[in-house]
Amino acid sequence: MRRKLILTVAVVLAALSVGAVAAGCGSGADEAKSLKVYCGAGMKAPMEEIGKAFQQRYGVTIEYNYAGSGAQLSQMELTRAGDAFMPGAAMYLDTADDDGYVSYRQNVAYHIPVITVPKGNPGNVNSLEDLARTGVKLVWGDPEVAAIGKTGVDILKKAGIYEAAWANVAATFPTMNEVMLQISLGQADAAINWWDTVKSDEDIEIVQIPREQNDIKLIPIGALSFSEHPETAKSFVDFCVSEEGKAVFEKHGFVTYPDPEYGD
Amino acid sequence: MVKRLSPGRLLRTRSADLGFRTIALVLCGLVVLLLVGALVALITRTTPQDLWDSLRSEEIRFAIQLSLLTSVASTALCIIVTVPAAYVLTHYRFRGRGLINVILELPLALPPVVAGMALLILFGATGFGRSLADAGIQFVFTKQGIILAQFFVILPFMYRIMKTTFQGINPRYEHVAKTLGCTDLEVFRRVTLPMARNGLIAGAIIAWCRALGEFGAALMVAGATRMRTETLPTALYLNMTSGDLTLAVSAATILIGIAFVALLLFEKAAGTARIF
Repeated sequence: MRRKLILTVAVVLAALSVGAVAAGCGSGADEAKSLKVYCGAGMKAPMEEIGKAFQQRYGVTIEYNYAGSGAQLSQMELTRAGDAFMPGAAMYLDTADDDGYVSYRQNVAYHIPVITVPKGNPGNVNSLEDLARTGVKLVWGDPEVAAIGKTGVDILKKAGIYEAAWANVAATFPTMNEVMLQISLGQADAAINWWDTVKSDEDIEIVQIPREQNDIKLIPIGALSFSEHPETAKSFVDFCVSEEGKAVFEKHGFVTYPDPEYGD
Repeated sequence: MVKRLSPGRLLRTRSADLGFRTIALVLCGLVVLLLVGALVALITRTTPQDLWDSLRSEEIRFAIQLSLLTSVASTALCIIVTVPAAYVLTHYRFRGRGLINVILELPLALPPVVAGMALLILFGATGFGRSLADAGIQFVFTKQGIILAQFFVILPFMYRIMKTTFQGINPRYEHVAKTLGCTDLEVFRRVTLPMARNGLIAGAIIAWCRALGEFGAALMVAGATRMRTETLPTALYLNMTSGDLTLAVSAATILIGIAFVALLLFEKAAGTARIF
């Protein structure tokens, strides 16, 4: 009796999952019910809000995927599915563009690297040059995985202190979230991170990098060429860069594009 | 179960049984197909030559070495701690026994990332952790941190297996040994431990496999620094994320190979041991 029950449950579950998959595949091409958007983890807060506003306006749900930008490129390559892509740096959208995946693009905001230190600045780090001082302990985003890791390395190289500073790196992490956690727990003296993502963290203090030493990135968004709902994907991209979309980004601490201070 | 498969029983199969049996077999087959399909798809993603080249790359060789070193160390530590713990909790009655039992099994239900964060705070951001670090025992951002994280994650698995193993030993053998004049230690060494041999081996294999695959907790404590705290699962994750699928697949292939061999050994040893 019990065996029969278990079997029945198993069969029902299997049937349900097959049904669910079939239903997902069968949605019509013109009437989009939902869009799949690859989004950098750093833009999660504003994009969630924009997604809700878009749904209220157009009745289309936005489903976000928040993996690292590099991982998302791999996913796109493997699956050829999705409607829009908003990576942490324009470089990733350029790569997707070169592969022919992008049909339409816009710039949303600036990603500004800053030096982050734990509250009270125990390592006494007050400038970019201090990162190269002997005895300063750094954590970093993995340069091949996280956009901020690569950008940080470029900034060090531009300042000519890469070798000395890199010797101070105690550990690297796959995303800027882990880097931020280590700094807020006081496990290292300093790290370079995106300004917008650390702005609201009370355990972290910020040291600005002078404009001429810095390497400011643009956050773009693109509609994907293999989208099954190209019209809706394009209107979502436009919605993100509309006055309403930009207001949400500004509310969450981003400097939106274009801005005379940071230019192109 | 064995009776069901005897030829005499099979000959007298009724049509109702046949239906049930077919459904069960089909479901079983589907699951096997899913597992085999996923593994074959992964391994055949790259050519054998690319796979071989990346297996020999400096990064993967480092990851193999570090993975073996840390997993063996954490498993050994785990055995040293869980065998006496499971023995005490199955053989002696004392206040708080139930609570200790629950605490020892708690990490089983804890996401590894949570375990990693807890360890990071304990060993990094408290006075206890700082005084250890001052004494030269560093866990944060080091290989020792990987061992610590693995130890924490595999502890409940090993503990559970040892507990059920000790519980499965008929206490009469131990009583008889005591009546023959053995002390508790002698009983443990000459009766309990030899009878728990299979469980011990099975537990060690499962714990070692889990240690090899541990990623979330170790990432928090030790970081994912290339060529420094880069174990096989870390190499898999980093290279998958940076788009180097060949290196990622080769790390995955090694992990699958090890898991396969280990589970075969486990099946042999697990005759008397049960995990749950």
